[in-house]
Amino acid sequence: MSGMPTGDPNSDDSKMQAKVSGNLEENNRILKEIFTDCGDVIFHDFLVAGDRHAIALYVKCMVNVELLDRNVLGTLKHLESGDFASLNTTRTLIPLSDSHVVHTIGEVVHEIMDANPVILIDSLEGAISLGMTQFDMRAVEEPQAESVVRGSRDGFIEAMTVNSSLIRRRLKTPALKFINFSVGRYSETKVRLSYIQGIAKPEVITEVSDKISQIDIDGIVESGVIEEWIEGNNYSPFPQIQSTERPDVAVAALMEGRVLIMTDNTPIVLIAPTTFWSLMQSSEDYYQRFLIGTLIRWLRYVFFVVALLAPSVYVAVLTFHHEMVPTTLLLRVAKSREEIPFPAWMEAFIMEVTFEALREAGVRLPKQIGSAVSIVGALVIGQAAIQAGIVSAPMVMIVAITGISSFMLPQYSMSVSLRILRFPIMFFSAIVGLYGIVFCVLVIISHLCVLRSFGVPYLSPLAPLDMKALRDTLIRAPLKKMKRRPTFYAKKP
Amino acid sequence: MGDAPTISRKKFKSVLRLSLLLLLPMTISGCWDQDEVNHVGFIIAAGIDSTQEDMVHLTIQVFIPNPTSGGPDEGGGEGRLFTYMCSGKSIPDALSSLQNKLPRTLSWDHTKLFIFGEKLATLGLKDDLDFLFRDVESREQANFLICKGTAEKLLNSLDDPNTYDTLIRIGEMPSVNAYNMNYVEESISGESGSFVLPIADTMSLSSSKTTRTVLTVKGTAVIKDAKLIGIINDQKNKGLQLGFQWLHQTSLSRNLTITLKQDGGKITAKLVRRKLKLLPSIRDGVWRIKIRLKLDADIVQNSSSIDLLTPADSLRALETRFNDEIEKYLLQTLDEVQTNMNADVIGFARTFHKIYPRQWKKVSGDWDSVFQKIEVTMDVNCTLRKPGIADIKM
Repeated sequence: MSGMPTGDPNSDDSKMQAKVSGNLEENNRILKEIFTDCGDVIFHDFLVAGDRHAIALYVKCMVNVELLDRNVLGTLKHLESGDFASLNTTRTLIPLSDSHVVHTIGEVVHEIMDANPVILIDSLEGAISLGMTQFDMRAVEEPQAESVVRGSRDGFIEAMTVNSSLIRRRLKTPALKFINFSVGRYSETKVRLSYIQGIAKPEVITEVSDKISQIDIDGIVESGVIEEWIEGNNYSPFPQIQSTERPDVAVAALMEGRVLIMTDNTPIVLIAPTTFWSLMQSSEDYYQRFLIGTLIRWLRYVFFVVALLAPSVYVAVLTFHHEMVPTTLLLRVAKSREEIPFPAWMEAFIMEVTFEALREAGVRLPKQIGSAVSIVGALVIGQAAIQAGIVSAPMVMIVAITGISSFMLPQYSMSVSLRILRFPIMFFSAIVGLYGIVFCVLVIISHLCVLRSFGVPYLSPLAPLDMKALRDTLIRAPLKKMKRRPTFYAKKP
Repeated sequence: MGDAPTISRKKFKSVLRLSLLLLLPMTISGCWDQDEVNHVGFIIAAGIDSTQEDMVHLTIQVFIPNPTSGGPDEGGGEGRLFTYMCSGKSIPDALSSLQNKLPRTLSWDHTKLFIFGEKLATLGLKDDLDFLFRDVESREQANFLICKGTAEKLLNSLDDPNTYDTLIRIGEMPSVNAYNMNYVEESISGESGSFVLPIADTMSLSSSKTTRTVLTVKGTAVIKDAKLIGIINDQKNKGLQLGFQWLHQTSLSRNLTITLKQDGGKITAKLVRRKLKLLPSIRDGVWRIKIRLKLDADIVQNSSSIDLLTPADSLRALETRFNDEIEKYLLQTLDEVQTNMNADVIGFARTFHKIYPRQWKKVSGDWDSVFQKIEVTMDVNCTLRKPGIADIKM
């Protein structure tokens, strides 16, 4: 799969298809032309076997130069002329485990761009590509967005090769497959589809690889681009692909029969297919004892509803259904609302928008200024706002509880979709009260029932009902009791 | 799979169209029944009286928050409960004339108490109850009370600063709680049409040398066919009052004690659990009913010479004495209900209807005369559980 460029738009195809001839001068000219103004590409002329010319080509700072100089150039210099009978003979004499012969100009260009140094030797057709990639990368660190109390502390990094090794280290089986793709006309980003043969559904594997091959784009900057290209429904507010930066989560998904999509230069790995419930789970549910796992899971379900509906219910009840609030509480609320100039819905809207703005500001700001945001934020959503008479104290409570609830969701993408949905529900509840909320919830539920992620119903195993799999949804059953793989993900045995 | 996005796009468009369509009727409906809490005056208690012929006098206590009177920490405060009075041919008449003068929408959502004046109740509650059941969107837990004299006078005499709190709490009292709107609706539409309601009264409390008048509940009013036919006050007849409490099916109150004079002292038992069962039978055209009352009680006071802590089962011996005492109250009550008032407030009609539906249908038009002839037998069985912690003879 790798190797063949999907067509570099900068050069014409015939030039790239041309074979690497035996004429070094000619090859040098062609390559120099291709790499015009590429200041980072090194052309190193040297002599082998006394008088024979050779060129080493590589991109600066992406190659282990020390190794190249000592092992390769050093060895080649001391070879006899008989050793240059064919390119393959020469290649075998280089003390390097990862090397191969390439034949076309296009392949040479691709290898160089892929950070593999290439050596062309006069009067030998073809070129030797050496696997000596070495570039600066971040160390494996604790994941920033998915922290756990209990669980492994390593996280994916930008280098995909390292990420693959993190997974391979946890799954020592040849059934773990990595299929390579190269996506993006210019970026030629490496994308890897990973699955366990025998567990993952073949139709899901084909669907995902088909969709990845169909991506037609100049460049992949982050896995989010891939996610948007391959997800089934772009218009749904709900994420249909899970993302993670934790290798343990990725491996657990693989063992459930799901597939991973790894993208080079990003620590975020995509997991497909996904369901509503898996987006509500944290890896720690399985590391803690099952009672705790179940409890926390339910806490999350409850606060999912709170995060979605709290401001809307507050507005609806205060505007239309006073009889639903206990009298003492209502009278207290009425008292605190007395001096507020805005109707309840506008108050809720102002506060929610402000909160979203604060949250966004907090995410984007440099860490040094972060504390300033929290100080200002505490003023805006807090006692000062109440004393200024802009909002009432109960509203501040509601906004705070909504904020906390949305932070409880382990998947950021899920809490984002809640943030989107909250506003239309608030709008409807302000117009028609609880009726509007019920209407919105019904629309959301019916949408969730229709939504599919790579053929898997989004609400499974609840709809369609699978009683056996519910033990990992409604509760987190003890691991000894969960002997079968979830049938909606995994291939039927 | 490549065409999946186009399908969902189509779907999305149709969903969008549908939701736009659904949005349109919402815009024409407007927000006419929208009521912000700060634009509402919550009626906490309503007193209904009849003044002249065909005129209703309404006294309402409205909660209007007054944020400047105190900080957010202050609970109840003075000057937040306003009393309005108005008259009209009917309650809605009176209300609408009052509403025209007020900037706030009057809301029945949190009305806790409906108090009917004695005169109105004697004339009949039919008109006013119909309005309350039909239109007022208050909770069905709202409690109904009868008061001696006029409700206006009663509500106006309350001068406790925590009145609104008292009004809210009084409905939570076990002796008032059961007599709510739901109970009245059920009883009026039920077999006998008779029921009892608590009587509202005032009580003087002194705190830091000032005397305040607060609302309280004293006695029982018997209502038949939506008309007040009798008031049973504590002072008038303690035993009768007690009998009503024993016999009332829904009453949750456990705050019942009974005192005996025995062996040179007083023995008081406090009710723990109560189980009332009405067992009807019709034999040879005679309608009979057996009242089976099972009681669990604890001894809370014993100054008599009986030693309750000895192994000799003195508690069992006492039980018969208590049975007799309770039976005495019950018979007295039944006599009052059957002979004097002829109001089936205990629910004999419902019991017969349940078990003898065909026979009941025949007599349902003439229930009053049948009711008076029912032969009642008693089976009171009280169990004394705890003799108390210490038994020191003085």
